[in-house]
Amino acid sequence: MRYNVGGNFGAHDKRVVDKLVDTLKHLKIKHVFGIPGGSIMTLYDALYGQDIDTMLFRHEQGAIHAAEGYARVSGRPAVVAVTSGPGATNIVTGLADAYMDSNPVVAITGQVATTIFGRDGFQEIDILGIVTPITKFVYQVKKPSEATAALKTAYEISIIGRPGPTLIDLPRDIQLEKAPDFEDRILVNKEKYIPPPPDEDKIREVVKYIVEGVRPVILVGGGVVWSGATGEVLELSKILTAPIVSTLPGKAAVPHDYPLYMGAAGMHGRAEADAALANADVIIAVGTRISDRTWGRFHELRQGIHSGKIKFIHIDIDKSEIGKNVKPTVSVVSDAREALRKIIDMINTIPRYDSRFIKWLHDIRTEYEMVMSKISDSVPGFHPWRALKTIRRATPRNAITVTGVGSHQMWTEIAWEVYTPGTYITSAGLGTMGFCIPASLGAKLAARDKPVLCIDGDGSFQMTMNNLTLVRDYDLPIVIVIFDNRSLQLVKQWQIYLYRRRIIATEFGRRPDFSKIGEAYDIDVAKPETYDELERVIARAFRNNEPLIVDLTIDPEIDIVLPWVKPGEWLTSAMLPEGMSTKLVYED
Amino acid sequence: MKINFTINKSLDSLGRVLAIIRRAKVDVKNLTITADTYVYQVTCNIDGEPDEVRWLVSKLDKLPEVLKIEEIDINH
Ligand SMILES: Cc1ncc(C[n+]2csc(CCOP(=O)(O)OP(=O)(O)O)c2C)c(N)n1
Repeated sequence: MRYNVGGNFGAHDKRVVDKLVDTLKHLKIKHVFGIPGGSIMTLYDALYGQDIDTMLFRHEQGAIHAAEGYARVSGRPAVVAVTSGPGATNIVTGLADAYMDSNPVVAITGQVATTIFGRDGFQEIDILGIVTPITKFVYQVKKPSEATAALKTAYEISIIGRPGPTLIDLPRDIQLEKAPDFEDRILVNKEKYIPPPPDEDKIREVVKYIVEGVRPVILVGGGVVWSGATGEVLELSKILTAPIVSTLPGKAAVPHDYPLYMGAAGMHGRAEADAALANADVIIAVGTRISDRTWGRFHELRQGIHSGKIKFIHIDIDKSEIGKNVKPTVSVVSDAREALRKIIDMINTIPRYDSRFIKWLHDIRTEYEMVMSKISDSVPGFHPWRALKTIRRATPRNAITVTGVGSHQMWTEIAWEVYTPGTYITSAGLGTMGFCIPASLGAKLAARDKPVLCIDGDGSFQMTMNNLTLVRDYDLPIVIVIFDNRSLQLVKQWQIYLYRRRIIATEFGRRPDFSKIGEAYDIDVAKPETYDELERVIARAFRNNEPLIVDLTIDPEIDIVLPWVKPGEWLTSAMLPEGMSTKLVYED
Repeated sequence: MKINFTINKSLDSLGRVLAIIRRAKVDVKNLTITADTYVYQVTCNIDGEPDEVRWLVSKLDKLPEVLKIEEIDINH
């Protein structure tokens, strides 16, 4: 028998929250992430004994990042339910993160009863007002008849077109009320998110530019992953013999052992990727929002487009991204995969290409790898670059890799190889420290059969390590490698080079002892001393499907991430590691 | 330039619209909101670079609450 808390109706009547749980089931939601509290207890009560697992986090920020990881891996929206006030404000960073990186997350926040709205009740917060600029859709339910419709709308909008976070705010009294047997309509326009078919005339123009060019470069962003356009990107690259460059989230779009993939470009991109972008005569940018992080600055690109030296083609599902930072020569608003298919089908000549350009890019790659190998050999302890190569060898090819934010993340941008599309997850747009542990837990939950690796910084780790308890609570064996440099190293790198080594507030002491943290959560901790040992412990953990924390000591003095395009500089002025003599300007 | 659009009749939606307009590099000369039974009709007269106005329109059009939108070049 159903136990109805509150409300003036029979034991078999359904409350609004019961109907909401029915809706969640209908939407095939298997997990709800969050922490209960007074204003959301009724929803949690309705989940009691139902076929939906509640995933109890130790901080709501953990719940929402986990939902992001889950959504990325499953390709479906994930649901977070938190209480009003502090529960709601604790998910704000995650909503912003999901907004910047286009992750489909549906948040349900409890709210005080409608009778005390706006009167600063206990744990009342205007969450709609707070999340307005960082959500794709928000709705405060004001009548019982709106609740299920609002949830369905929030779910649908989060995944249709360009994905993004949505939120519904549920007042406590409404949750408790008897569910009506009708549903109100939520007045929104969803049709606008259905991407239009690619415009044929524009596609013709794109093809014309592509075949006229000799140094075409394809720039792929996270949109390629969501669109499932990896096959089309590779096909186009083969037809054109065009190098592929990615943004940071776009790293997940292309298998890195494809020889024409040059890596991610930008602030801490690969030198050959920066060189490819900066010296292309045709750039086909797909599913990317043309971010300053990828380009350093836009001046040179804009000039090149203006003078006609560069033909810049921008393909994106979101028309507000077109021309936001750089006005393209031609744009196509549509799904990436569809547009690329049309382009490929319309190319009927064998385009020319500059083989010397490709060789030049490959030479830059070889030189960088040689120099880094030498540098890594010359330091006594672990070098992040070689550590990543070692960890990669020990990690199965299909593993999902998640990162924290900082130098360790930037090293993965440069040196971590992704083989299976969709298996690299990082907080790119917002750069949220603390993302790694919870997002890895969410990823593991979405794909229990896949190995999950979290490459974290000691600073980032400490921001959300409270959620480690879920590893044992829900049997989510993830492997975490902490690049333990006892510093907020990426900020320190800026202090060293941009603030004349005035180091302030970026150095940690020797606490905490991560082995004790591991012990507290019943997770083994390894502190390897050699690369062999590092490889061995990680391979063993993956082989045995056991959780592991690797505390990898890195000397902060050697942890300087290069290449580095300093803020506001152009790609060709990237600071390169010592011993690299190449200039990133192509002599035509 | 003039932007005309229709949103659902909700001050929450109106707040979201304003949150977008305030981030655009345009000068808002005039903003009128008229309530209907189910919707608000919003008219916004603005000065600004045509590209910036276009960006604003497409950004507003990203909101599901914006049911209809049109941009009118009042100089022509
Ligand atoms: C929540 C948050 N606070 C502050 C920053 C600014 N920030 C960027 S990188 C960084 C250092 C990160 O340190 P750690 O996680 O130890 O990684 P490391 O750079 O040492 O590899 C900081 C403080 C941020 N990105 N996110």
